Amino acid sequence: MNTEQFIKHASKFYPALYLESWISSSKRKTVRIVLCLLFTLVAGVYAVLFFGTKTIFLKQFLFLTQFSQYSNYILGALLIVFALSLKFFAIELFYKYFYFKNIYPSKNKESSQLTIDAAEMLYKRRGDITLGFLNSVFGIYVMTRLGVSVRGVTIVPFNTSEIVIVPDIYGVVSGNSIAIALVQTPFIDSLRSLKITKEDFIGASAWVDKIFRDEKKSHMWWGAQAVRKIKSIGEGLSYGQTALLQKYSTTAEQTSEYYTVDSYDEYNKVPVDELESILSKTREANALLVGEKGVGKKDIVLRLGHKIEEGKSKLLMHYKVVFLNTNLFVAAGAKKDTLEIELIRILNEVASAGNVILVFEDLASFVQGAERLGSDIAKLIDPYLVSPHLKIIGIVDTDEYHKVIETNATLRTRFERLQVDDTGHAGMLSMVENIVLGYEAKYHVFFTYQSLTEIVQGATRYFSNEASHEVVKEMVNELANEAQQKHVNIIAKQHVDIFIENKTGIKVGKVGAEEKDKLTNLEKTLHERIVGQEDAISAISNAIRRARSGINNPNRPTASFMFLGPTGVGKTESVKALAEVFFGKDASLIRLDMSEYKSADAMDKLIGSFASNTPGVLASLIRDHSHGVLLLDEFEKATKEVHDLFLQILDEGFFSDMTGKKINVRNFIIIATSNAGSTMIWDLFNKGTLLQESKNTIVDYIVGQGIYKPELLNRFDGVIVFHPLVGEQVTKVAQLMLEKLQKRLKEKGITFIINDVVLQYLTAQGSDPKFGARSIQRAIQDTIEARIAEKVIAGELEGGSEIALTSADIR
Amino acid sequence: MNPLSFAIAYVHWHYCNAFIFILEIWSGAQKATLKLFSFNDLVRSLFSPLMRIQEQHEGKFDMEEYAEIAASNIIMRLVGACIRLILLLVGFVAWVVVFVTGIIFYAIWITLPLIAVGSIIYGVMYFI
Repeated sequence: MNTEQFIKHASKFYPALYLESWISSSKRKTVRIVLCLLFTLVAGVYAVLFFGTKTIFLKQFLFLTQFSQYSNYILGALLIVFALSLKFFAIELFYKYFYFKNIYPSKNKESSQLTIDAAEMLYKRRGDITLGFLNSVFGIYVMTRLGVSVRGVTIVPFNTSEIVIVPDIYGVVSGNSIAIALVQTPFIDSLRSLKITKEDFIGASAWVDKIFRDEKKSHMWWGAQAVRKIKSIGEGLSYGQTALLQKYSTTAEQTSEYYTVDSYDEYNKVPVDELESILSKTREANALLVGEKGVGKKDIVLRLGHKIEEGKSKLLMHYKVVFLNTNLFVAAGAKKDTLEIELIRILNEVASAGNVILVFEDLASFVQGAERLGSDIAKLIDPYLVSPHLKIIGIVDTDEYHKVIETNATLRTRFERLQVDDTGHAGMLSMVENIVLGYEAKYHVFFTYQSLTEIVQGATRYFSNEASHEVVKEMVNELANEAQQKHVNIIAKQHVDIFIENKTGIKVGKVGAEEKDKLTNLEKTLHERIVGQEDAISAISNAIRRARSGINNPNRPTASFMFLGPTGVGKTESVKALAEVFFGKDASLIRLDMSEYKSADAMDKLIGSFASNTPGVLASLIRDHSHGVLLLDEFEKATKEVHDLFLQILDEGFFSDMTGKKINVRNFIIIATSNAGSTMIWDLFNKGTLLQESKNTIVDYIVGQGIYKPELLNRFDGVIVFHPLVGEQVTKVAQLMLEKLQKRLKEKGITFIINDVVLQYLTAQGSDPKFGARSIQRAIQDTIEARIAEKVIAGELEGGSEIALTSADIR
Repeated sequence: MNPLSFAIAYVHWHYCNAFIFILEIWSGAQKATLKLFSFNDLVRSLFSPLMRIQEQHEGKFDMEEYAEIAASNIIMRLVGACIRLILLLVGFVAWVVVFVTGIIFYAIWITLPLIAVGSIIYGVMYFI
């Protein structure tokens, strides 16, 4: 069917659209209420006039009989009001016929099926689809969700026949189908000028389409969905009572999350169906949901509850999902015997009830809690786990699974494991689209579509060591709460960016003028601390700009470099400068001395040991910092296994700790420093060779020596060779170091004057290139600082004094 | 579109599509009634013990105890059947009400334009 035919077909909806434009739904509702009240009033007066003397109740209103001479008029009015009420009722039904049309897809897919939203766009402006869209309820709502007014959109005319309208998978042309067709037209340029991307427009339109459909379905009480949801009166007679269970449990509907969790849909279909399939088995119908903390394990159980409630689960029809409050249960039990007796009674109740799916929300804690009381839960519930009368769901975090469940043969074998992973970007967006409506109603705020995509993106990218699913929910809640307190009605993308910045310290969103200036002059800023090393400074600056602009690969660390060079040339100082410049004063510099990881237990020290149940240094440090710079000093000294660990980290941006939990390092700049190949760097330098040009030779030498594998070096964004410091560079380094000392003395009220005598002395001391800046540092400490300290102790220097060392002082 | 074409479209709908629409609502209402009283389940479990309350024989075989338990279980099944039958009856009455209401509604619907127009004309006549 082409566009013209769709437009022709939409004309069938025109009477309803005409009615709506003439008198809107809300006005019609008011009229119906007024007519109803009027009818009741007139009918009441009429009843008093004709039957007042016969009924005790109506006798109270006998004063109305003074109007008996108007009884004919009253009867006439009654008939007219009655007729109008009937007509308005019929007209409303007429509108509703079109309003609900094609909400549920028809079996006849051959015929074109339009919803009223699509018809409104196609026909309202006689074929000008752009105008039709922008003037339709659907279009206005989509544009509002995108944070723009329809008035701001420039209309560019185009030939309607050029576009193709594609019905959805059910053969229905909805408002969303028209929106998708519109992106093929010059309308997309108008959107671009409003900084709206094609993806955002299509996403917002699909969301609004779903909101509209759900809204219509909720009013269609006779529809399949509503009928399926009706609770049967006779249902309770067929199943047993669970009085004791009720004391320690809540049903899915009673949980606070039930109505905020997205209902059973295409994005979460697979795990819910798998869970349903496990629970539908005739024996050992026990499922164990295993996944990272906050990944949405409970939500899957709640979605199954929705599926059963909506009558979509034929296999588990009439079942109810009940969460056993294990903490309360263990606390109430207090003693081993009480706990065991109560648990057995509950399980017997569940078995005889015949319609309960029992959920142990935190199975591992329950087992451990009971263990502390001396009770072996696994042994106790084993007969029930194999029983055909019970269906049990256990929920457990991955690390607890490894610790508690995996080590217990009964629990491991009786439960069928169902791995729960993050639903990914699309799944999370679908979830947030669902839950946000509840928060909007609660806090009286409005989320734009871009704010939702930013929340999902932010949760996965910047809160990467927490489960994104839970983070998303918390972000929505906190943003809505914050907005209400600050009297902000619309939550846009920038509000989410500010929220992320405040929470993580990572700068996201638009670059401000001050920051822009800082980023442009990065090289200059870094040079204030680093002498020479142009290649390193340039590489670092470029990496920072890439990260800030958000164009770097989000699935790898922000940047990664290997700094090669002899000691004392500024490798570590460069990393410190980078941390300070990029992350500010609260620099998140994590420094690991890799020489500590050269023994056999290096991996255990870094990622933790399952056997001794000790967490790893790297795992703990990364968990404690959401972002920063990870400095791996003297990387060549670490074991081959550690190098292999970093192969994965550099490639994929994460590693797994001792329990198998993923630790994300994607918000870190990883820099490994190494003295490997220093001798060769020296030789080349002494020969006057340009080191950057000989980088390949140096790398080949290092690989040839077996210090690093070639694939490891290739994983770094860059291998940077640091030059040895000579001549003027040494003086500059000395100057920088003395300035630091000068600053420290200033804090004590002593003015230290940096003169040529000191500088020449330090330059001479630092002229041994083998030790680089370290010899200058040593000379400052051993000579300059020592002399000043002597003078302070001798009382020659006090607060407010000035000191300039002479050649006699430093001889 | 002018009011006249709207009126024509409405009348056309009133005597064509509206019948299908009302049928949809009517059948939905009937399904809702049947679901509310869960006819299928009540019939299927007609003689099941009420709320699964059942006694079970434990220990050695004792004729007297066995007979007591059997009698008690039969009573629970009979009580269950009685309550279910009452519910089935109430449900059936509710369904009949919905069904008859539908027929009456159809009858009113066919004559609705006439009733409305007639009432207005008759009402206006009282004013004259």
